[in-house]
Amino acid sequence: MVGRLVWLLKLEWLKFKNLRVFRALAIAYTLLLMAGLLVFKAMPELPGETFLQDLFAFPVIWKWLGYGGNWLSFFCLGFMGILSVTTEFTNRTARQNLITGLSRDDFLKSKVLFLLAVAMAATVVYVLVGFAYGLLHSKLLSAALIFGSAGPWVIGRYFLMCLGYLTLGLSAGFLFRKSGLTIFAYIIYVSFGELFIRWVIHLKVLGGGRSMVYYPANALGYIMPVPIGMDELAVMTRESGIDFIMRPTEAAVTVIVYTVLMIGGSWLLVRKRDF
Amino acid sequence: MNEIVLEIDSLSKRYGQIQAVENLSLNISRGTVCGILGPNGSGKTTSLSMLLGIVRPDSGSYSWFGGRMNGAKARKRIGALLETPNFYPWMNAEENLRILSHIKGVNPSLQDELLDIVGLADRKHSPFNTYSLGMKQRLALAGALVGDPDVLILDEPANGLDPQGISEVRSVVRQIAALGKTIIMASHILDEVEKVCTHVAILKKGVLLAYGSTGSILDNCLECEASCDDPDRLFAVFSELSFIKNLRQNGQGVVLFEIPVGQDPASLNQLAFSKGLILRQLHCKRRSLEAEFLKITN
Repeated sequence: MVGRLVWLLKLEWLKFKNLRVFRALAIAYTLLLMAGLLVFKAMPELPGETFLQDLFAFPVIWKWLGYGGNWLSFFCLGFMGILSVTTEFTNRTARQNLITGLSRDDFLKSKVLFLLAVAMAATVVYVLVGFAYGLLHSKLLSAALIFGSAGPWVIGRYFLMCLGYLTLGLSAGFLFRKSGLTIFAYIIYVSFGELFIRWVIHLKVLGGGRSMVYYPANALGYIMPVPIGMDELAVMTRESGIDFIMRPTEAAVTVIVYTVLMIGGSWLLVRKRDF
Repeated sequence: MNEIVLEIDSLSKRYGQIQAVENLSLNISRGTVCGILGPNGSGKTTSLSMLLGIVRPDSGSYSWFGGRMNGAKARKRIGALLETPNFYPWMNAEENLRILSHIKGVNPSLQDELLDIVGLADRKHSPFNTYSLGMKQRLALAGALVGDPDVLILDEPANGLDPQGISEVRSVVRQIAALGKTIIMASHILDEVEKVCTHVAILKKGVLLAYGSTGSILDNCLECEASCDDPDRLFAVFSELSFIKNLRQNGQGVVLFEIPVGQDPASLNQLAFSKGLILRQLHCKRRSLEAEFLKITN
């Protein structure tokens, strides 16, 4: 069983280890995650605002780094998820894989395993960068202080976020198959499409209530949310009648559900469609 | 030789209004070199795609190797070149073949030998996207040979090749056939099929029109032409013979007809002479596959 999983993972590694766009996305993700927060170092502190002082220290670093990682995952990991599938259809290598003797199930399994590995690697980068910043900028160190009240679960949420974006890209890739079209659809959906569906169709047309928060891109946004102002925003929205803010754990559960659904949907597409 | 390697039962596939393949049934024995002929859009590639598991049939079934193995397991024992060569463009020949070897679970160290066979040893480190169409086709042929498959499926294997390449493909196919392997080859080059194939299947609009040994399809009649000073009388004499088929004149004093294989043309000469007709020419030849193909598909 393990040998088979390693065999499938190695197959994807052989395919993509030398693909330049993959390397570029991996390097961009790592470098920007490492260096992105340094932008705040150059910012002048506003009167009464103290968040810049402890931005790099434990445990706040996890939130800021996670928020930065959310944007990077949307682009870099989402695109990797898309390209891992669409390159196979554009070059017709998916059909060649099947002709050569790979089963449809194994084709999908190898993709999912590969994305799991990428999500793990992206999370390891997050943890290493977080520790590096935290250790350099924290005055007092204790196990409790490192992760704060949220505990190490923040790492689990980060992993789920990475996997969520990768899976969203993967399922979009299986649906549309063409790289350009899929990237366009992915960006439009995450940036505008889902907002329109939630606020206009779900809330106004269908008269849905708070269930309008349970959408994949929305959950991916709230799993590692912007670190300041969320509590105030939650109070304001509750007072206005609809609480459209998701708590990180609530977002994490939603992401898990959608990840499973998206893999299931991809499995149906792989099973039913011609290659 | 009699072991059935591929059994196809009423395979059908429709794309919208187009019936790509209709009730295709066929058995192919081990060691057969089967040529699949048909005009463009006759369903050759769709049929092969269904047999290779990349297109889902609407109805019907097929089984490989007497049903002992099917699906992905069977495909690991099959080498195939379908339509265009499909490889990762950012990888070189060696890396691409390594992926095929990995999927088939075979030792990649034999790749060099395959690249040698198809004449790509010198370019094995060049990326696939720098190859000419002919080189891509050669690599696809090497890819089909990875893992020493029991069955080889070749869809237009000579596509894009220069005359030397075509001759090399023919030579490789013959070498493989000589090893007792089963080969299924779709081709437009009828001369190629006639030279290489032991069996021929002819498709048109998704329907199997004919299937049998190349000999049985070609050898059931001889095409003849005869001329003399009085072609009308010769026509009248021959029209009384029941074994003569498709009797006609070409308008230039030549009488054209077909006779069954085994019928001695000399007897016609003798008959004409006995009727006072001296033939200037009597020429009988086996019908070419091209002529047979055109006759069947038209």
